[in-house]
Amino acid sequence: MSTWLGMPPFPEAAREALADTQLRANLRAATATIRAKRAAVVAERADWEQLREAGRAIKDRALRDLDTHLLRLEERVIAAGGTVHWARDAAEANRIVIGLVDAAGADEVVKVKSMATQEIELNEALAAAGITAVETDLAELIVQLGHDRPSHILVPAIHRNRAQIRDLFRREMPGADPELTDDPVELASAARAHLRRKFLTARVAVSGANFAVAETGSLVVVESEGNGRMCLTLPEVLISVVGIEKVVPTEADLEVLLQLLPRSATGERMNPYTSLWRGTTPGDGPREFHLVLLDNGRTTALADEIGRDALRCIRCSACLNVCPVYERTGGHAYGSVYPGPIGAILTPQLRGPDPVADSLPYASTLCGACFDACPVKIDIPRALVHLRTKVAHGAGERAAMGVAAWTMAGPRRFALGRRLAAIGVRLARLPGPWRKWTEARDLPVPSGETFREWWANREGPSGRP
Amino acid sequence: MRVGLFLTCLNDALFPAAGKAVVRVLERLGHEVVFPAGQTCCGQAHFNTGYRRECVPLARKFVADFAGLDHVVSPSASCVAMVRENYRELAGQSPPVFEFTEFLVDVLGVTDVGAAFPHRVTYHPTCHGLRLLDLGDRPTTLLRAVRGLRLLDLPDAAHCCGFGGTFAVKNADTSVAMGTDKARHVLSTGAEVLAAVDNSCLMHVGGLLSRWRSGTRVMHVAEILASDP
Amino acid sequence: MDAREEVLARIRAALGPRRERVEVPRDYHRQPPEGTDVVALFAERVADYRADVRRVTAACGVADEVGRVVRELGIRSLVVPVGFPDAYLSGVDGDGAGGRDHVELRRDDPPLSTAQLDDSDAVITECAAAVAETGTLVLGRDQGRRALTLVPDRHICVVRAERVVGTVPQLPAVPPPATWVSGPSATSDIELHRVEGVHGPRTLVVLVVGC
Ligand code: SF4
Repeated sequence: MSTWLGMPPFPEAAREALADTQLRANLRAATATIRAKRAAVVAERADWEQLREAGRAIKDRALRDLDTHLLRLEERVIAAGGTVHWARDAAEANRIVIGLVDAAGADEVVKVKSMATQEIELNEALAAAGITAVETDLAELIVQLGHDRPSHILVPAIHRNRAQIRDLFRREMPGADPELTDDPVELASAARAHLRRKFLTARVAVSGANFAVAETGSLVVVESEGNGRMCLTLPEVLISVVGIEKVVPTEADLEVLLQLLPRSATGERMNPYTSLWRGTTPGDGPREFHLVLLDNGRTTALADEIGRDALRCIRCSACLNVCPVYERTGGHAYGSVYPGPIGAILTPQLRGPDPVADSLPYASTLCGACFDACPVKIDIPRALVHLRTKVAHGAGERAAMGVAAWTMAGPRRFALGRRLAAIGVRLARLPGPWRKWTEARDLPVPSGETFREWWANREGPSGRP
Repeated sequence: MRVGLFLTCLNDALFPAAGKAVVRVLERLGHEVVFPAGQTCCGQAHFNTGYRRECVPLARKFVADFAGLDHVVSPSASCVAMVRENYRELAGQSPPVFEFTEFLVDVLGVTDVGAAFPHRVTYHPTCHGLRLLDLGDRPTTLLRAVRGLRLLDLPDAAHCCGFGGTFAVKNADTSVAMGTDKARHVLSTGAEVLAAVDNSCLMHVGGLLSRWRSGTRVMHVAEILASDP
Repeated sequence: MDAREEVLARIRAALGPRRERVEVPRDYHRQPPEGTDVVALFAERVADYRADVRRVTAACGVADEVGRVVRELGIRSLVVPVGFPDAYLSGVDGDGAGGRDHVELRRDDPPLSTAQLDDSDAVITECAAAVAETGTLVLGRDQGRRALTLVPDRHICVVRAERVVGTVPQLPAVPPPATWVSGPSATSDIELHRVEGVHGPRTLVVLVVGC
């Protein structure tokens, strides 16, 4: 899998993606499908808003006492026979995982899709240590075989259609049937056959977790294909890399989150498989369980009173599916494993400032569709605007905005500004950054009296103040 | 009723017709319109672009300009949303602002303003009108009552047009891609006129419709409601 | 400072000394809508996932139905977890002398190897609980090791009507390891179209017993 290094800022990356007509068609079809499915199952629940409010509160409650809940989780996992590791950043987490795989004497691990391990680029780190990571989620497999990058949180190969996937399987999957068709059923069977032996022989598995329950030490993985169950059950050693924000206080919290997540994510009443486990169980599943608790920028976000809302995210990707920007640019343009609206507020906080991260809070029209869809009520537009105040603004823009504010603050200066604007729009091509407007769009040219002239001259019933 | 008009900087500079229309409709309904001449801008573009500090004097000025008025009406959903959502924090108080159609329906209780406009019209619910102000069917209720007007359903109406303030130039390519889809849907309805309650969005979609010489024009809802019988 | 101490210190610094208390409103629905026939709803919702749902009104009919399913699916080897009621298996020709319909019952005692599971045609279990609203089966420790319901390609699950609850919040506590199963294995990874059957059992047969 290629990494995100060297990606251009959002506007340039988007420009390229927008020109890819196949990508546009694939995304349009896929997001329209999932939006309709989600809308149907959400409409079924008369108490959807109550569930959202409970979901918001559950995650907020967890975050407001994060240290307490993490310590309780640690204690319960250890009591249940597991081992808990803490990682300040990606490098430390990767080192821990590599050490555990080495200790198990393995040179291959099976992996169930996990955003946290993508975020820390674990596969690349494992490869550098001579360990092969086998992605077992169908979409991740498609991405891995294509030496590609994921473009969606839940459906990482959303940018590919069935014909493209068939071609990829024929070309890259060892032993694939050269007559393989593009029927999704056949493609899924090919993946099953390809991965079966890996599952049955793997000694170490790496996963993430959707939730970790402090009260009981239970970890939860939500999935569809059964590859997760394979990874969580068959190998001897299980390593779960989990962001510290995944902890929830009580078992009862799951009854809310496990209702919100599948409906928001795949538009199903419930996903096919949800696994819950606690440490190790004699005679059932791995004999060793390691939980790696990952910070990697999360505590920085936690320190920001508005930005911390992003830590409520349960990675359902509903915000991506309803986002009009995402629908057109796809996920790669966001230059991060977290694309779409949530990526636009999470990436800058987890990664700190750089040209890509600084461009992301602007990758939105603030239309608000994401906020409406979010099952844990993250006010993404508010967070975007907030993060915009924190990024480095260009000197030119800063000056222009300063002048504009100064102009608006005085009525006489404003009158001059209005006149200049009225002259400006008569130019077929605007200067400076405004050129971007007139490249594709005309400007309205006001004709006749201005409002103020009309107001001053008319004889209406309303007087002047 | 004495009603303050907040014209907005954009309408003041480029769309005089919207302000005139608001005045005509309100006066026709027997109300007195007050236009504080010193008014300028609500600060939305600054606020949304990340220049929060620059916004504070503009918010304070707005509050002073409209002091003493119980109702301030504006033909811009996004500016009304800006004031309603952020002024308490920026200026310490939240002036009583109303979007024009919201004011007609909720405050004045009017759903038929007695206008006539014998044209095919489609309506785009702008994001801030739809999601921040919850305007719902207020604008279309008013439009449906206009004599001779045929209101055509806009496909994917609730999808953003791609304007987004400075997004339109910072991410011009994406903005245009979104606007293109919106404009295509508008043309698919066969409407002569695209109506909305935000001239900023209309400037964007209308700019495309005009560049394409599509023959479909854009109008603020207020202008349609001000059309004489 | 080690990583643990440092992460905890960062959290404490981020949250500050004054922490607001967050109450969780739990006014979402705990009961299904009044008048809901939960068993019928369960059968309908599981069927929506394209599981093969069969209703058996009396407990004595279970064995016959199990026998029928086994014959229809051509199952020759059936994995049986420890504790599965023998009475449900009396319709399966498991002790015959290897005739045409002979079915090998593979009891997980001593534990079957993964290779044996992979080589088995099907597994039969009960469930600890089931949710009507979402068509979900909950498998706990009493239903056997997790691998049993995962590796064989077909899963037959006997659901007693009294174990079906209306909603997710009504689920009784099932100690982990537990697995919630809602339909056969599936993926939506290709163009977001649901396809049944990837790594888990591709066929799920649900026998609902009682009404
Ligand atoms: S921000 Fe909300 S909608 Fe987006 S992925 Fe996270 S939980 Fe889902």
